[in-house]
Amino acid sequence: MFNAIVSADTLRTALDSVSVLVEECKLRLEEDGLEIRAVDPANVGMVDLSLSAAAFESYETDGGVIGVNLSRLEDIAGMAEADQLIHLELDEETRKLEIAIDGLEYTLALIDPDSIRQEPDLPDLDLAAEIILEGRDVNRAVKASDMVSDHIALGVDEAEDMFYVDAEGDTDDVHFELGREDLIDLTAGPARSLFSLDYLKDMNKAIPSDAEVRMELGEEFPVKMHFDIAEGQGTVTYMLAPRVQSD
Amino acid sequence: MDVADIPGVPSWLKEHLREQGIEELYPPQAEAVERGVTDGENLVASVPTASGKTLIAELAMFSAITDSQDNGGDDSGETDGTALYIVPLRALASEKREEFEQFEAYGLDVGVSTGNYESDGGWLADKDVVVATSEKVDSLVRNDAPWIDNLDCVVADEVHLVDDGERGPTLEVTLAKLRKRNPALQTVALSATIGNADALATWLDAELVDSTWRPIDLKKGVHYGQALHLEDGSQKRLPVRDSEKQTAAIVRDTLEDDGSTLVFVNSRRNAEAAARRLASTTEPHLDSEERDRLAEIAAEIREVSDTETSDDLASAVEGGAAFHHAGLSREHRSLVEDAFQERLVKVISATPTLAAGVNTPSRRVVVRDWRRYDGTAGGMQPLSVLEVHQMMGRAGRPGLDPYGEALLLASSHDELDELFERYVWADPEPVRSKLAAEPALRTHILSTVASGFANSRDELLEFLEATLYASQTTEGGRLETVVDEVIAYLEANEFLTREDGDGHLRATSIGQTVSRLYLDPMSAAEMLDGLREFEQTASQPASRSPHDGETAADGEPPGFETASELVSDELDDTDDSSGPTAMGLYHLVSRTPDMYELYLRSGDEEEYSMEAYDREDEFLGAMPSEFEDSRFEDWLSALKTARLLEDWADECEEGVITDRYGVGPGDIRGKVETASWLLNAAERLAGEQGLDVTPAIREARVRVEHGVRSELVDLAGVRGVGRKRARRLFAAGIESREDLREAKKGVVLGALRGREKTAQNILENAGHRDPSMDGVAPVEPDEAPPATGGGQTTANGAGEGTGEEDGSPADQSSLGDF
Repeated sequence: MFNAIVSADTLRTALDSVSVLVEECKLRLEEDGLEIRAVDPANVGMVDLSLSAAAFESYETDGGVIGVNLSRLEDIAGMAEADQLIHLELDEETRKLEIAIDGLEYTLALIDPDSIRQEPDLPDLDLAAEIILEGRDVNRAVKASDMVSDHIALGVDEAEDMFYVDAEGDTDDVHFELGREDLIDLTAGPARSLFSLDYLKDMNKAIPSDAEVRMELGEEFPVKMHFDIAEGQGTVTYMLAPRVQSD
Repeated sequence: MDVADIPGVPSWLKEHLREQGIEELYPPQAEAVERGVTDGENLVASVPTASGKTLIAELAMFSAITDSQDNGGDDSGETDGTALYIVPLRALASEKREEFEQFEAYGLDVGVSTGNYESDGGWLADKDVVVATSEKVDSLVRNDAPWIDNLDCVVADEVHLVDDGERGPTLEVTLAKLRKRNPALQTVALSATIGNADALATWLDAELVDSTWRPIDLKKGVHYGQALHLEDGSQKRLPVRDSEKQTAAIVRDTLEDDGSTLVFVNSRRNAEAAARRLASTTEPHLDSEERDRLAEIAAEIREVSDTETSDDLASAVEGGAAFHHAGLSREHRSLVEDAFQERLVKVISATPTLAAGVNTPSRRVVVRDWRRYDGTAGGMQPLSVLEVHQMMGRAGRPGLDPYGEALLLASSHDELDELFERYVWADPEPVRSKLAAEPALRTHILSTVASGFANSRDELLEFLEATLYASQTTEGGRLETVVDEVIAYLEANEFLTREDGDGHLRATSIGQTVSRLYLDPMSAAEMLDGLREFEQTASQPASRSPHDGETAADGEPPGFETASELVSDELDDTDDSSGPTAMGLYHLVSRTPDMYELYLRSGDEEEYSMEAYDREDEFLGAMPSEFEDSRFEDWLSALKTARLLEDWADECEEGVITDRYGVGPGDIRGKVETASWLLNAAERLAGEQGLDVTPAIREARVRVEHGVRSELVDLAGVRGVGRKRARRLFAAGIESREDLREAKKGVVLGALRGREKTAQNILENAGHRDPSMDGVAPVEPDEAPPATGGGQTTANGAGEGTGEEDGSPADQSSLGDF
C-alpha cells in the first residue's frame, strides 16, 4: 500500500537529483519516508536520497519497493505548477502507479525492481577533509572550470587553511580559492582528487544555490557531497569516483 | 605434554624448543602427538588461528624426514627425505620459508617454489623442506617432477580453502595426486575452525584433532553507539567523541590501556587511507623515545623504495600507525610487523591477507568492513563467517594480554542485531568440495590422464574416489556419469584417445599441451576449432566441409561434436591469403569459457546483430543462425566483449570504453589480462598444430596487452612506456625501440612532458647508452623536427611537467575500487 500527496516542487527536486545519474531506479517505500539509492552504469557516480514523510502533505505506506522510469515520472510531474499537489497511489492489483494532478490522471506502468541495476552500498571511506560551503560556490567553481577543461581538481591546502579548485585546459587555466572566511566551515586535512566535470556538472544541476553543501574529500578518493532538499525534510548524498593517475 | 616426552622427533628439535622457552605443548599440539603425528600418521588439525598449528606441521615434517634412520642420534641434521609444505598464497610462501629457515642451523635445507609453471623444479630435489603454492605443486606434478615420488610428508596449510571455487579444486586434486603417487605419504592438513573437520579427516583417511582451545581467551562483540556489546551479554562504555570515527575511538580507548589494535578493511586503498587517519589518533600518545625509534623505522621504509606507497607508509609510521596489504614489498611488511610486535606501531590497518597466516596478534581486532566488492556478484558481498572469525582470531597476545577482544562496527541498531546473528554467534560454514563444477572436472580429468595418474576409465574413477568430492557426494553413480561425459568430450576433441581393445586412455600430444598450459579444455577446443577452420577456408577457397570427417567419427556417443561440425559452413571467402583479423581472434577467445563475457543489455542485441552480419567474414568459425536463440545470443555477447578488446587495442580512451560498454576500468583490465593469456595459449596451440596463423595471434596479443595499434607494438613493449607514452613518442618521430636508443634526449623528454625520472627509466629499459637526464631540456613535441635534433634548447618554460597530460590526465576510477 502506498498513498501520498506531495507538492510538485518537492517531487521534482527529488527526482531531478536522481535522474542526472540514472534512467531507472527503485523507490523504497519506508514507513518514515521515501528512499532512493542508485549508481550510474559505469559505477562512477552514486546518489543516496531520502525524503522524509514530513516532506509530504500526506504519506502512508506499509513498505515495499517499486521500480520507475524517471524521465517518464518527471515528465508527468512537469505537468503541474510548482505549488500544485500531486497525488500518488499504488494500485496493488495492476502494479501501476496512479498519478493525479488536479483532475489530470495518469497511470504509470512500473518496472520490475529486480530488472533494475542493483542498489550500491555506500563504501565506508576515510575522508580526511570536510568543507561546508554554499551551493552557489560549487556552481561557480564548476561553471568556470567547464569553460577550460573536462576535469576539475578539488583540494584542501592545509598550510593556507583553504579549499581550492583547479582546472587546467590546453591553453587556459582556472583557479578558485575559498579561505575559511568564505566557507561555512572547514576541517582541513590532506586532500586532493581529480574529477570528471561531466558528472560534476550533472550533480551541480541538482544542488540548490542556497543549500549548505557538506563536502568530504580525500587524496585520490571519491568525493561525497551532502545537502538538504525540501526545506530540510530531505537529504541527498552524491558520491563521485575520482580519476586516478595511471602512470 | 612435556617436550621431552614427544616420541619420534629428532633430539635437536626438542633442544630447539627448549631454547625457545617451550617446555610444554599446547593441548591441541599434545593431542596431535597422541594421535601419532610424529609417527607418520595422517592428521587433520582444525584449530583456531594462532593456537600453534605451525608447530604441529614442524613436528610432523621433521619427524618424517629423519624417521627412517635412528632418531636417537644427537648429531643430526642428516636427513634422507623431503617434506612439502603447501601454502594458499604466494605471499605466505616466503613467510613460511623464513619461519623454517631458523632450522637451517640444524643442517636443514629449505627451498621455495612459487614461480613460473612448466618446469619440473629439479633443484628442489635436494631440499629437506619445500614450500610451494598448490598451483605450483599441481604444475610440478603435471610436468612430472621426479622428486615428488620421494616425498615423506606433505602439509596443506589453510586446507579449508578447498571450499574456494577458484583454487579449491586444484588443492583437492593435487593432494589426491600426491597421495596416489605415493601411498606411504604422510598427509597433515591444517585448517581453521570449520563446521565439518571430520569430513576432511574421512577424506584424507586421517586422525582428527578438532579443538577450539586458544592460548588466550577471545571475546567477540560489536561496537555500536557509545558502547561495546560483547558476546557474553555484557556491555562496556566506549564513547565516540564528536567528529571521531568509531575505529579511531576504539584505537584511542585501547591506547589508553596501553594496547594495540589491528583493523581489517576491505581494500588496499582503504587500508592506506585508514592508516593515514589513524596516525592522528596514535600520534599524541607517543613518547619522545618512541618518536625517535619510529622516525628511524620510517627512514628505513623510505630506503626500501621510492614509490608513493613507500612514502605514505613511512609518514604513517612516524605517527605510530601503519598499513599492511599484499601490495607491499617483503621488506616493508617485515618492518611493519616487527615494529608492531615491538609495540612501537600502535595500530595496523590491513587487508585480510594479514589474517591468513601472518603472526601479528594484538590486544584488539576491529573488523571494520564486513562486506567486500565482488565483481562476479556485481556489488558488495558479505564476508563468510570463516573469514571474519579468522580475522577475529588475531586478537589477544598470549602471555601479555588478559584476553583478546574482536569487534565489528554497527551504525544502527538493526546492524547491531544483524552482526551478532551473522558473525558473533554464528558457526563457520561447513567446507564443501567445488570439484564437481564442469570446468574444474574437465581440466583435472585431462591433467590426471596427461600426467599418468590414470590410464583407463576405471583408474580414473578410482582416482576420483580419493577426492573430497567423492567422499562428500551422496548421489551414487553421479560421479560416474559426469566422468563418462567428460571423457567423451575430451575424446571428441582429440585431447584423449582410447585404445580399442583394453579401453586404455592416453592423452594426445595436444592434450598434453593443453594440460600444461593450464587451460580449460573446452577453451582449447573452441580455439583450435576456429583456427583450423580459418586455415582450411583460407587455403581452399571453395571448401564445403570444414572438418575432416574421419577422425572423430566412429564409436563416439552422440552429443559431442566439435563446435564447427555443428554448423554448416557457408563462409564467403573474401580474406584469401592474409591472416585472421584482430577482431576475429578477439572474438574467438571471447567465446571460450575462460572469458567472462559482457552482458548483453536491451537494445544491444540489435546493434550487435548488425555488427555481426557486417563483420561475418572476420569470424573464425561459422556464425550460428539467428534461429538458434541462445547460441546466437552468446555469439553476440562474445562480439561485444571482442569489440571492447578491439577498441582498447585501437587506443580508444579508457573513459570512452567504460561509457560505451557500461563497465568499470577494473573490468577492462580484467578482460585484457584474460584475453592476452588466452591468446598466448592459442599461439602455443597453433604452433603445436603447425598452423600458419601464429604471427597474427602474436600481434593481436601484444596489441591488446598494451592497448595499442600495430605501429606502436614495438615501442609499447619497452618497460615503462605504455600506450599513452608510446603514442606521444611516436608522434615525436620515435617509432621503434631502435629509435628510442638513438633518440635525442631532449625530444624524448619533451614527448614525456618533461618528467625526467620517467624519461631516464625508459631510456634505461630501451638500452640507451647514456640515459641520464641531467641538464637535458625538453623539446616541445610540436617543435621537434622528427628524428633529427636541432633546436634542443627551446622552450622549457611551458610550465608542463606537473604530471597532467592532455585530454585525459588520468583514468576514471570506479566506486567499486574503494
